Amino acid sequence: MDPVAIINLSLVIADEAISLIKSIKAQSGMTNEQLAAHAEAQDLANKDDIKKLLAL
Amino acid sequence: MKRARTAVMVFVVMAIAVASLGIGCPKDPYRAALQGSDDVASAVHAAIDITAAYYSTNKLTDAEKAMVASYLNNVTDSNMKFRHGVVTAHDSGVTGNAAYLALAQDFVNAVPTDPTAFRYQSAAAQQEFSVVLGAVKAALNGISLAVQQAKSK
Repeated sequence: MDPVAIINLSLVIADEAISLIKSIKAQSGMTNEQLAAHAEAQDLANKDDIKKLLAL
Repeated sequence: MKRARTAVMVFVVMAIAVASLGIGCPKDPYRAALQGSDDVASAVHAAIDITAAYYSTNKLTDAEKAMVASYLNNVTDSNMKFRHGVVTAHDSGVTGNAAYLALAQDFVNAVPTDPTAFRYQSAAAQQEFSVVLGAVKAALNGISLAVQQAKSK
């Protein structure tokens, strides 16, 4: 793998790690009720998006 | 590059998930179950986005899209049922890991399909979806372990 590709991959890893850490930190700052509501909202959005996906 | 990005994302998710089991805050099983459910919902969300992207660029057939969508829909329905059961158990005053473990096992049993066994015409889709849907499966299966490791209050 050439050096540029290595650097690009490293940036991708860092970018994804930062995004995931932010997500985990967001979870850790939530109360149980907020966490349940967050998951519920995501699931409902997913249901809606799956319908749209099937309609494509 | 996108494939590498996805593979890296899954690797980092799994690495952090494994690390958080050991060094994370001591969670009670209720909290662990809720976090696991949230992780499943997030993994499904990512999978939906990638499915739409691949389909819009003709890297997925209609049948493949339907296959993936059906799996993700089942995971989502089962995730909602699992989480509602968890909340009901908690609100009923259930403590200890056993009840939440049973609910987690029911969740796993409700989604017997192994999405990593799906086959696609496009080699790129085969590689990508093995990773992406593998992440959904890992998030689902990880709930039992997280609940097992949680400390009852």
